[in-house]
Amino acid sequence: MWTKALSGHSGCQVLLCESDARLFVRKISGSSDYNARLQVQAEKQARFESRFVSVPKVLDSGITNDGCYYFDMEYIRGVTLAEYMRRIEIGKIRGFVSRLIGHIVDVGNKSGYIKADVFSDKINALRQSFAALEADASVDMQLINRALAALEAHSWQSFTQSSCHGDLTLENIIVHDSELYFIDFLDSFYDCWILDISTLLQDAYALWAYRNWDIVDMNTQIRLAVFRDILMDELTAIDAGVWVNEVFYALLLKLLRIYPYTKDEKTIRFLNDKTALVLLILEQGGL
Amino acid sequence: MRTLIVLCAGQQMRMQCPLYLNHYSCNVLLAAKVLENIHADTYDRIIYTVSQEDCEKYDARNILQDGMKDVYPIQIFTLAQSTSGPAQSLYLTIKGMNVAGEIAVRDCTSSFCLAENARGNFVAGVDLVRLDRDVYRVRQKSFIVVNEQGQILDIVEKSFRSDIISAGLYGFENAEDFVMAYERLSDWHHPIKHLYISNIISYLIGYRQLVFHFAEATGYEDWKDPDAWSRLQDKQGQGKLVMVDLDGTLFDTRQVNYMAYREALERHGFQLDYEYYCEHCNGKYYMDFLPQITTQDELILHQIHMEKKAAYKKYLGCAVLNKTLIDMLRLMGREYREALVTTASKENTDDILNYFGMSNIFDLILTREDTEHVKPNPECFIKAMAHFSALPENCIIFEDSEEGIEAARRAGVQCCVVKGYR
Repeated sequence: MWTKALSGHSGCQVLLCESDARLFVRKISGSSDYNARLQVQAEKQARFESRFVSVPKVLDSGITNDGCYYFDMEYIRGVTLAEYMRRIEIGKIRGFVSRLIGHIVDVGNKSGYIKADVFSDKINALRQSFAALEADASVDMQLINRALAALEAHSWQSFTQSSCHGDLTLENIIVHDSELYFIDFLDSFYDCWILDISTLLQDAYALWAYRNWDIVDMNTQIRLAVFRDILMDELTAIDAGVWVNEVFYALLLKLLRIYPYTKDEKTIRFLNDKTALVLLILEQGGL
Repeated sequence: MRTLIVLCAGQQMRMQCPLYLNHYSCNVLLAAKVLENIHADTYDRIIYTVSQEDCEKYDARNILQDGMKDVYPIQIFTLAQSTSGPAQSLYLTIKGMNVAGEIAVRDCTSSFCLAENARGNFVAGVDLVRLDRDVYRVRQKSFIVVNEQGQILDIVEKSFRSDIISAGLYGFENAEDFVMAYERLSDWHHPIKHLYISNIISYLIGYRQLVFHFAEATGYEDWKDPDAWSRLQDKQGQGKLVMVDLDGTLFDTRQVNYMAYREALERHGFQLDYEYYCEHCNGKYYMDFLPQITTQDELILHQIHMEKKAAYKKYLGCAVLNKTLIDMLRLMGREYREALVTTASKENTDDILNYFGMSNIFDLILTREDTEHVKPNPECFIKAMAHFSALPENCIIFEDSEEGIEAARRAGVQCCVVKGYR
């Protein structure tokens, strides 16, 4: 079987494989410790249903000789939405956003209850993680403390349990034949549709998916601005706009959660800038 | 209210001054040249946006006011500080000059021709496939994606997406649309720096789903192109001049003038024979032949002349173009400045040049109204030479009439005699 390593995240190895003249993708757990999480992802992908977007079909799964879980999925010959945004015809962005929002809200309606202490526990854990980062001069601790205080003061009651992708960055959406395919599902400490919207905003507002690009050219920036503004309009139209601030709180929490895993100074500076931006939006009472 | 805003800030330098303060042929300021052939006369208000620095260092305000005084009434808006790009310059102009309603924005780096007067939301563009020359630094241009119905689907900066590039003229049906988009794209949440006008249009198409129409531009000349610029400078520097008469030389207008005079004369009870006209009147100033065949009453003569000028348009279909001379002028144009020097009235000269689509081929046009004396007095030729600082030995005149040939002799210029070309 011919294989080619693709860039992988979350401690997994991702291979493009060819067997019997058929291409497919194999995602393998980095260690047996990660097996359970990857299996949840595979099941999430296999169960996925949507009227608006698609997923690569899960073809097979198993355990490697090293005891690591893997699953095979259909290979979608496309480009990520992050890349596609560079050259998408600007008038087509609205259709893409409508489909994404349509799907997220659709599954968001099947909601349940999230325990109140899930968020306070996570914020406490974060505060402890940052204590270990205080010596790192690149981390703006004054900013972090303001952000943590804002998160602690926020009531998370409106965050209800619902299906979601878990890591819906533009890098995890493939465009093929004008269809959108979700990949790399993730289990988060909470599942809520607001999480997916905040992840989209993380790219549209904070350009997270583009953090390693040397330059985000003007055409891409304009397209992201159109994406962002249509997304915000659609969000504002839901329940008279009550979710707008909630999404920014979710985004602030997401940004802070990245710090402890970040090793390079460039990304830390990026996170400082974007955390300050989101905090300012919230402190000024929203957009 | 339609407002045309010409953005002169942030331009390139040429000849130790900003590009737009340089001169095109016949001493036309480039800042004025950009208004040609874009239906500038249909705008109610024309505003030039310049930087304070250009005003202080290069006297931009006074040069513009002086250079535009015979062209259009203009207003000048001064930018106190340099801006981040064209979109900010336009935004500050709209706010600073209280501009509302329909606007068009023109940059100051090229010339072109719009066949139709574009209105509302539009972008003027050049189809590279149909353009008969290469475009300098084409990858630096804005590329326009247009559908079969002439609607713009997208416009992108410096990225090859289509065969059509922006020519540098953009229209907005409502200035407020521009203002809204600019403010959204540049606010503190997500400031995008160095915004171009095309970025604003792209945003309006994508977010507001506004419809922008494509307006095709022809004859595109990019002054940022160093080759094009040096060709222009070479032409200007050499002091070589070719002067061309109109009636009987560039056009055989005997039939046109005869028919127009005959119609005017008949209204006053006079007859005119064609052969007599060709032999004794054609190519002459009306006061040199009408008194002999009509009356000495100057008021009536003037009236006949006015009526002839008015009738002239009706008979332009009878005129014959001297195609050989046109071909020669096209070749000579690489080295020579070209002037049309005629005893005909400005009105009739404009009529026939427009009729044949030739209003742009001459660097200078001198008509009867521009001189005190008529041929064979050499005043008109001397005036044209003085305009270009050209010496007689570096000039050539094309003439057909005895008066014209004599005027060329008196001006000390070699004369090529046109003997008929039907």
